[in-house]
Amino acid sequence: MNALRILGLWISTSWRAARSMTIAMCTCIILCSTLPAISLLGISRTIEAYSSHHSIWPGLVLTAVALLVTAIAAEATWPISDTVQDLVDRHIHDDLLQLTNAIPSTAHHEDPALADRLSLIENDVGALVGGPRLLEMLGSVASTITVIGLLASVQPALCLLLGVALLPAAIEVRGAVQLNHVQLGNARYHNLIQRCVNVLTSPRQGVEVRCFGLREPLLAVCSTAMAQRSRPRIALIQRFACYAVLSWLAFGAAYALAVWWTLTRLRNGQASVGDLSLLLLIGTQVIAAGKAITANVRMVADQMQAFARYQWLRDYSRQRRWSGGAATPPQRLRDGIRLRNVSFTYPTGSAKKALQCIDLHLPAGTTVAFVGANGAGKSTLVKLLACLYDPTEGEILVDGIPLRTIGPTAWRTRLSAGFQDYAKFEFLAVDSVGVGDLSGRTDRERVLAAVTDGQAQPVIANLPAGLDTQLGAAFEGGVDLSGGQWQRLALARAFMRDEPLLMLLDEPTAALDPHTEHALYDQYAAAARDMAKTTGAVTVLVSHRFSTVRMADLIVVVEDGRITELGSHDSLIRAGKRYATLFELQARAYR
Amino acid sequence: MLTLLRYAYQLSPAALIASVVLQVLSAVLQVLTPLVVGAVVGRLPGVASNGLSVGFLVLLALLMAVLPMSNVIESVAVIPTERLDAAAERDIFVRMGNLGSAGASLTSLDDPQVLGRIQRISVQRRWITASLQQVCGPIMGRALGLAGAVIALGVVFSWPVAVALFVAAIGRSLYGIRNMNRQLGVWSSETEGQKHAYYAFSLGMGGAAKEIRIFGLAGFLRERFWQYLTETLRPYWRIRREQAVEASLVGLGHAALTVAAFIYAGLLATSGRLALGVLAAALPLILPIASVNLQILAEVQRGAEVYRWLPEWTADEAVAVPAPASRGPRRENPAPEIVFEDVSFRYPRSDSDVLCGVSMRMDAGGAVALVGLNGAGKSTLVKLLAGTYRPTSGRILIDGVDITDFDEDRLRCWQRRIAPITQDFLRLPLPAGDNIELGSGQLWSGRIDGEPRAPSDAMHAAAMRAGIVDLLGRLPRGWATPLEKTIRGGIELSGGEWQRIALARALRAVDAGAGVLVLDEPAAALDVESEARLVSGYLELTRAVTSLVISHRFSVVRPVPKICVLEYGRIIEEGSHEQLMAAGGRYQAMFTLQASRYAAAEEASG
Repeated sequence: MNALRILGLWISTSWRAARSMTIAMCTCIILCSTLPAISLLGISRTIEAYSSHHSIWPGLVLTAVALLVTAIAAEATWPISDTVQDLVDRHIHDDLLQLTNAIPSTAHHEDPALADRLSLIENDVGALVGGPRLLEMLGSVASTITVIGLLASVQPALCLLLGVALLPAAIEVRGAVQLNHVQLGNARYHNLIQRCVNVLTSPRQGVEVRCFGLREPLLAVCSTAMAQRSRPRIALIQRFACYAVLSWLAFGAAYALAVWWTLTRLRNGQASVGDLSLLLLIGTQVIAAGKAITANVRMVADQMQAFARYQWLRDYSRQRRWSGGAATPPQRLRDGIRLRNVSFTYPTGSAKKALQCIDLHLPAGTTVAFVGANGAGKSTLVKLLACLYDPTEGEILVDGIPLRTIGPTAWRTRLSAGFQDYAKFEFLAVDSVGVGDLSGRTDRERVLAAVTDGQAQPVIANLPAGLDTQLGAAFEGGVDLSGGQWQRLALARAFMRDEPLLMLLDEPTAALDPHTEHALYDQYAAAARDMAKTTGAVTVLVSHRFSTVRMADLIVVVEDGRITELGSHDSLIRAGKRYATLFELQARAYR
Repeated sequence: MLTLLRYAYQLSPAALIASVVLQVLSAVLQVLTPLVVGAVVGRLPGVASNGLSVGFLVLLALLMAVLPMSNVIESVAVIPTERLDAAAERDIFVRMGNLGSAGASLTSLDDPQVLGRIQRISVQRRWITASLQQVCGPIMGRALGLAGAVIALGVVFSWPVAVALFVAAIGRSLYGIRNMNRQLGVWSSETEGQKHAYYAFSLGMGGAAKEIRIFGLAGFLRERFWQYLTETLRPYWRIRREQAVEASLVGLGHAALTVAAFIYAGLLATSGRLALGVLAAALPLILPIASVNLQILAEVQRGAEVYRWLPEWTADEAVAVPAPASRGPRRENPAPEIVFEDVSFRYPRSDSDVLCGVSMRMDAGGAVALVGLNGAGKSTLVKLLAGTYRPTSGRILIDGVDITDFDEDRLRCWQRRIAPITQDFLRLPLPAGDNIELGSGQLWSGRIDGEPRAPSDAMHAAAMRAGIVDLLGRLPRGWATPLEKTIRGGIELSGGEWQRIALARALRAVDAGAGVLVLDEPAAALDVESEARLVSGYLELTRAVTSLVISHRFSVVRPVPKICVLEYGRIIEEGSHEQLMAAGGRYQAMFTLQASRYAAAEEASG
């Protein structure tokens, strides 16, 4: 049943992407695959007519017409199918984008099993796009029917030949499938080689390559990996070449038998000269039909998996779509944001709770800092606040309205965020910043203001065409930025949004020097105060620099998924526990 | 085509010869098969009326032998081409690696042309291997088969017809090549618009998951993908629409010629001027000539073009991978004195100086710290010190000798005496053991699936001093754990953990004889406690070497006896922490500003 659904998806994909072109393509394919056999029939008719002193013209005309039509169809097939391919390619990419991003959470990117599956789908695109090739199956079916018809016209029993022709074809398919497996298993070698070569050729790693003397060892790594990669592959190919040779010999024997049998029948007067000559001529067509069938079976086997994953994503995306109420976030915060008894476990199968029974009030109009070692749960808290995950237990209330009923899309229009693992948008610089608020993307004033807030003016000033510079070395005229420069652009992006209710800053300044970081936060603090007055906005800040952390109104110490301390800087220092210890450790350097 | 054949010969003469032999056989069979079919069919009426003859049986046996043979050959022919493919792939990677790492200088790698070339080869190398497979395989067979069929047709039937069909086949192939050439770029997704479109796609599929959701960018990315792709493809769709019509006409013309040849043969046969056997041989020969299409040659042309981007082949580098060189013999004075004398530098193709008149002295065995804001030129200083760039003016003296006077070999030796941690330090997807042992310029296992083996004492010592013994103990396969999560059994380290691996690597290099330790932001990713450990152990780690530590963190530079302050490409102050504080300059101002942000704590904690 499921297989049928998948097959249906496969066929309908091409149909949905390009209707009329698909029909044109099918017609061409069917013509191309039936007519060669028909033209052979024409030749054998000619020979028969000649030997029985009838007119040879019907046979010749048949051949001629078949040839002419094939010529047109064959030439027209490629331009048409290339374009169908393009249209399907565009359609599938677009559909995958839509499906992946319709899932409100990011669980599928962080759960390794799901992420693997997703990246497989991404790699599958080639196979999915090859989807219209399924239509070539029509061709192989058509040619097979023709061949069977011709064989049966000589003697129905001869159809068995086609069965024998499937043997070598099946071996070829089996070999290809196994090769595919070997290939997949060897991908890691390929990645290793690629990485080593990248290191050797990148100016960024040039100093290390030369100082450590990495050229020879890394080339040796490549060499070993290359051998490890190709050895099993070549061994497999050799083995299957042997099988293929044996199976072709078997087919040859069967064919000889068929010819001999027909020859005997000819001598007994049960068969005609035309029959035998058709049999002799059609040998190659039989082989071709066998091959086409197995190639298609193989393609179905290969692509079935790809389409099965595609189907999975469609189902997964549909199930995960948010289906809560449609409350709107408040215009301004009065009370603030409350976490009530919130626990969270990542959906990765590990039972360990990332957060346990968190009760926390983020008062309206304040700046709250999260402090703790890596992996303590700070970033998880940030993700829950951004609605990237729903709490496993408990709930988050925005001025008393459960976040669940607001829904991610509406909530996110009122928040902004900057992360340590920021995305690099290799667009024009103006767009790379501007996407922080799509409505203001083209408003250069606003983009420039955000650039200033993110301390990114020097980055923009250094670009050859300022805001209109293409970023990313992979693009023509594109400029590559350093980590620190990218980070400032990411910050500027976070500052694009007008009047957010919640600003999440998850270590977005780790690559900046303390001086720049403070300049940024000083400036931000002033803006935040204004914002707090008008909208009651809350700012959440994660940082390892205690000089920054201490500026927050409320500091939350997170350890092992629990809140262990809570309060203002002064009160926490007075308490003399974990926060005070860590602060002291860092402050010592400045005494 | 000849270029590629020569390349195949260089890669593996045996594989090339095997390929050629098989393709010649296949061509012979292509011609022989229709001839034998013709001969057999021609005798059929005779057999029907007069019974079997020995000659007929021999021919029939030959036919039965020949028919499966072409498939047998096709099956076997993949073996040599596959070997060639593997050899070519290996060769291309090694050449690229060599191209990037051969010189002691980095100047050429910063050249956009060289970088562009490397990028192009790495993106388009499949063209080389694919066309190599074509040239040594099907294309050769097809071309030889075409020649054979034309000659056979000329001999058994008619030379004018054979030549006319041949010319038509070539003409049509050329037409096909032209059509293909117009589209190769878009087929291989190498146009600028496609790059933008697929980049947007990859962002959407996981490159920017958090931002897409928070800023609501799904629709934006979809639109971007769709527009870029459609705008790029639309002209090609138009071309193809025109082509579909034009090519059909060309194909029709070609087919008409073939049919004319058929009719001509038919007329001759009906008027009794052509024997049935000849007719039966001629018709099947005409068909393959008519159906040959060598348009795939367009791909071969492209492959040859990409091949020419590969750096020149020189006997001493490419084929044999050189054996790992060990670090030179330990010197009398492993820790050199380094002096920067009024050094200025600007990058090629840039119009402003990164460093202007830097003078700095690093005593043999001494420790120097460099502090400055982002973009002050700190990392450039490291590149100059390692001799990967030459100063625009001024001198860098190593034990009194100007680095500019070093010849290539001496410069290489000098580079090998430096143990660096750079800002974007190496993270190799190799086992932890290799990531550390490579500091000595040697491999430990060098493979991602090797059996775990015991680390050497020197590796242990480096791990101990870098404080990563615990970390290594936690890894699932210990030292043999690949530091890459996509490899089975591998894991992903955090930024701080990686940084300590990099430290261990640099310390391993020191142990192997490097006399200069350079640490560029060694604590950037460390958490508070790890940083404190590094700082307290730093002077101990650098006891026997000349060291330079670069950081914008005062906590890291403070214990170093000599601190240089770099601002806007100049050293503006130098001295110990106490001296600089007393001097009341830039250092003191920056430090005090930092300190003031912690100051209240002291009051509070009393």
